[in-house]
Formats: sequence, C-alpha cells, structure tokens
Amino acid sequence: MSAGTKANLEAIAAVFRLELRKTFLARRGLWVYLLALAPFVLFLGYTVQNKIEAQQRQELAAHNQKPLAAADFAAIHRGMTEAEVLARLGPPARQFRFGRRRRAANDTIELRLDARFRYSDGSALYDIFLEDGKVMNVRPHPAPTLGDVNLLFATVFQFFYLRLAVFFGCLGIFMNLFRGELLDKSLHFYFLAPVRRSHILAGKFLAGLAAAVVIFCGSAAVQIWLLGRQPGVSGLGHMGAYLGVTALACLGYGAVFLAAGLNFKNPIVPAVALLLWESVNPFLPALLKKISVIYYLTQLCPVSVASGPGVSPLFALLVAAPAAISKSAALIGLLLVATVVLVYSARRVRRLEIDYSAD
Amino acid sequence: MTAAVEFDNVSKFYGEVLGVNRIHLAIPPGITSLVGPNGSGKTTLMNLMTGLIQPTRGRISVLGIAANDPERLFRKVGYCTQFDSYPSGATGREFLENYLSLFGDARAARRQRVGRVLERVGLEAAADRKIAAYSKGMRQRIRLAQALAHDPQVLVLDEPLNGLDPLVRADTIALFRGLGAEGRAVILSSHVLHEVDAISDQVIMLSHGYVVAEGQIHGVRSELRDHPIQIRLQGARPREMAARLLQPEPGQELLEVLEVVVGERELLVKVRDAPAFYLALNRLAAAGAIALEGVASADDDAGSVYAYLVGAAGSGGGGQ
Repeated sequence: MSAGTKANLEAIAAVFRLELRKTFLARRGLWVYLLALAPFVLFLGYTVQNKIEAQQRQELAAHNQKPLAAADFAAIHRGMTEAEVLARLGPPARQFRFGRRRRAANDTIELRLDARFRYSDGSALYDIFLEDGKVMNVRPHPAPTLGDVNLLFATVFQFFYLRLAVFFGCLGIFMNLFRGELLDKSLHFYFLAPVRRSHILAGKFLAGLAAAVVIFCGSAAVQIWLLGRQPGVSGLGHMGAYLGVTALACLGYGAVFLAAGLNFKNPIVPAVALLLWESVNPFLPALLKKISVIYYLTQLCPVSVASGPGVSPLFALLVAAPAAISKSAALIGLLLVATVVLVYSARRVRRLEIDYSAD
Repeated sequence: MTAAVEFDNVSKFYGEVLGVNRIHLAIPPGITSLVGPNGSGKTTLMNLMTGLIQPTRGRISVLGIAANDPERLFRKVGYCTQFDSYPSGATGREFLENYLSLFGDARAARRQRVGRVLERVGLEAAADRKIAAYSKGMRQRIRLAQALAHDPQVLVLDEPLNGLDPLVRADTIALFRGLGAEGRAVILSSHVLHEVDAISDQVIMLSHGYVVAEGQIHGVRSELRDHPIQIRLQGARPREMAARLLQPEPGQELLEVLEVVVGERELLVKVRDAPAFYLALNRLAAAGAIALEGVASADDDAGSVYAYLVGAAGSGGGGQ
C-alpha cells in the first residue's frame, strides 16, 4: 500500500472513530432505536399470544370426553342443532351463552339465545357459533405454520421495516451527519483539520452506515430469532438474506439522506419527497423505477409478499416489483445508485461553505 | 518580508449581499489585527483565508498554499473561531486529543502536544473536566488551545480575547506577542481598539467589506493629512506652556499650531506637521522655555484612526 493511500485510509479511519460514538449516542437519534425496536415489540406481542393459545389448545384438549380430530369439526355444518353438536363432539371445554333481543316480524320483541362453544383438538382451537340452538358458523384457529410466520415477517419487513423504520431511521442518522453539525455550529471541527473533505464525508458515512447496520440488522436478527421460536415453528429461514437486504437498505437510504443533509436545511422536505417517490415507484415508468432504493430492495427480498395467500390486489401492487430483475442486477443497481449519490455528495461537500450566520 | 497570507483581488458575495470586495492584501508574519464594526467583513476575511468559504472572485494563499487545500493548509494554519465545536461529554483533554487524531499523530505524540498546549493556555488544572462545565473564558481558552495544538505557523483568531478575565487576558496577549516574536503570523480580530494598539504590529481596517487602511498604526495615522495630529503635553503650568507655544519670545521660532486646549495639568495641541512640531518643541524644552513633563500622541491609536477613516459611527468595532 502506498504512503498516500495509507494516509488517506488513516484520515478516514480517524473521522470514523470520532463519529461512531457520536452517531450511536446522539441524543437527537434516540427515536431511531425506538423505530428499530417497533417490529420487535409487535412480534413479541404476537409470540406471547401464540404461546398463550398453544397452552390453551393443550388445556382445552384435555377436557375432551373423547379424542377429537380436524375431521370431527369438519363434519359440523351450518344448521346442525346443539344436541347434534354435543353428540358428535361431547361437551365443549368452554362455552359462552348470551341472550340477544331482536324485533320479530309482528313488531314484538323476542329474546334469542346464542352460544359459542370452544373446543380444541390439540393442534387448533375451534369456535362454534350457535343461534337459537342451531349452528351458524365454525371458526378454526389453527396454530401458525412456518409459512404463516414467514409471510407475516416478510409483510412487516417490506411494508413497515424497510419502507418506514429503516427509511426514517436512516433519515435521522445520515441527515444529522452534516446538517446536525451545521445547526450545532460545530462542523468546523473537521473542516479545520488537515483532512480532505471527501475523506471527512467517507468517514462520516461509514460511521453512519455502521451504526445503522448494527441497529437495524441487529433488530431484524432479533425479530427473526423471536419469530422462529413460535410454537411448532422450528426457526425462520432467510436470515442471511434479510440481514443483507437491511444492510443494503441502510446503504441506499443512507447515501440518499447524506446527500439530502448537504442540500436541505429542513429534513421534512426531502423525507416527504423521497417517501412519495418510493411509494409511487410501482406506478412509475420502467426507467424512473430504477432511480429508487425500494425498487432494488424488493427484488432482493427472499419472500414475495405479493404472492402470498389472501393478499389484496392493491397491496400486492404496492409491495411487488412489477418488472422483476435478477438478484445480481438488483444488487448492482442499488450499489450503482448509492455510488452515484455518494460521488455527488463528495463533490458537494468540497464546495460546502460554513457560514453559521446564514444558517 | 515574505507575506504569510495573500489576497489577490478577492471578492465574496453572499447572493447579492457584499461580504468583502476587491481585497488585495499581503499579511506579513507578526501580529496583525483586523479592525472594523459588525458587518465590515472581518470574519469573512478569516473564513476566506481558512477555506471555510470560497471567494466569488480572486485568489487566496497562505504560506503559498491555496486556501481550498485543507490537507496542506491546516498543517500550517490554526483557526480559533467564535463557535464551540465540542462533542458532548468530552473533557478538554479528550477534545484536543480527538482533534489531533485527525493529524495522524501517534497517541504518545498527541498526548505530549496536548499537555504542552494546555500548559500554554493555562488549562492544565481543568483539562480532565468536562468542557460543558467550563466557564466562558475557559471555553475561549480551549478553543485557543485547539488552534495552537498542532503548532501552526499562521494563527487566525476571531475575537480571541472575548470572555477572558483581565489576568488571563494579559497572559494571552503575552502569548500572542511571543508567537509573533517567533516569526509566526498571528491574525486576530478584536473590537476592543485599545487592545489592538497594545497587541498589533500592524492593522487592517475594514469598512463595509472594503479595506480602508492597512499597515502600522502610526504609519496609517501619518497618512491622514486631512486630520490634524493631536499631541498631549503634560506639565505643571499648562497655561504658561500654551502662551509660549502660541506667542514665542523674540528669537524663538513660531510653531504652526492649529488649536490648543488647556486642561488641568495638560495641554492638547493640534498640529498639521507633527515631526516639525516635535523638533521645535524639543528646542523650546532644551532652552528651558517650557516646563515639559511628558509628551504623548493623543490620536495615534486604532480607535482614532478608524474614526477618522470611516467616521465616528464606525469606530465602535464589533464582531462580524
């Protein structure tokens, strides 16, 4: 390694070291941690609910007078009487009875007796709804399968985590790298040192990226670990792919928000503009789609939300990448977008003037 | 003498607002003060010579290095701005060590330099306290330490005496003098004009973005021929002294005196040709015609000179 390259790397490393602590412990960045933790809290609730239901399935199954299977519940159909249900399934483990007033045809008020019977076959809960002693509906609550959990995570990951949590988290981290110091009137700490401005930018960007990757990949890893511990689910797959996509999201959005911080005083303006741009991405012409971060990220996600069962067409349109490209092309595309934006930022920072009185 | 800082036809506009215009300067080593009121362009000049802002037109070099080449420039230049740049929670020592880490120094060398500069600005005792707990004067000194830490050849100091108590102020002025005597260029702005007189080897007077005068104060003053020079003569019998000056005895020369104001133990005299007056005054004193106890220039200072140049309103000084 030449002496010049070594000196350049040392300068970048010096800025990186100084920025890293600041970026992790920035007071105005505390909400970034909250954003990153939000899905974890959601999944924690989901896990607790699943654990409770699993326990309930076992407890209720123990009350059955005879062993029950899914076929027994499939045999229960609308219109069966309560006596027929009890004859087939035995008394329910839990039952709720309640009266309802209703207006009859002759304009008199009559009382209707409804009931809900809850059974379990050990692997699913079943609610049987009865009106006036006749079966109206049978609703099964099966334990979530690996596919269900995969789809749930993929949906939250693509629709909330990437598009909102990582997006706004990167806004908080990367816009502050320069704009925050201009507001604090402290950017001259670096600008008065014998370090090329592009190296200052590189050091700051890498520190921001390291912080964003640790925070968001860390959170994603914990989420995946947590979801993989659902009853009956033995580990969620694709962890490596999800962490890779999260890191790339930090890279892409980080580069964009770093550039925004060099050009805008108010972070709301670029945030809203970029959020709109990323949101309308599916509706854009093919060429414009490619000038985006989410376009490439959705291509790289290991599970397609749009192809999942029960997905509405509008939702599928919003989250899907309509013109699929290969994963390697998506990776190169994203890296290209980030590189172009970073090169622009390096040119911009060279001309950046510190005039605090004007800020 | 080779100039430390050169401005070659430099102008800076903030949009349509003038910062400085058509500046030609060659600032030599020694202590140079930038004098002018708010908005006169002092900080703009300092920011230009340290590359924090770019000129709209013209060229600036510091020790032959372009101002937009930070890698080379800031090995030779230290700039003490008016603004704090401390990471929250840092102690004075940590702050300086962090700054020097950007110079690529090894840790041991950094520590040594930090120790030296803390001693130089008188902050060794407070070095391991958090800067957030520093007084205004201590913050000013830690900023000064930052500018001095890497032992620069050119020091640019924006209002460096602000917030310092009289004792520290005197020490700091002595520090500047020492740096100037070592052949470094110390360029400072100050709104306290009597301090400028005490510190500076030369002044650069600015008004509304233009340099209105530059050079040694006495030299600038002597160029202002439209304004009579005021000389204060001290003696026990000022009235008698005034009579001798205005109506000499036969055989004594008539001094060209424009105005005389008699005080309690002094006489304020306005003359057009100061050297000729001083010569004649010496002769009178030597002949015993006047009992002179002391002679001093009454308007040969930065404040008076600035007031003559740009009007009394402009002599207040200030910080832009």
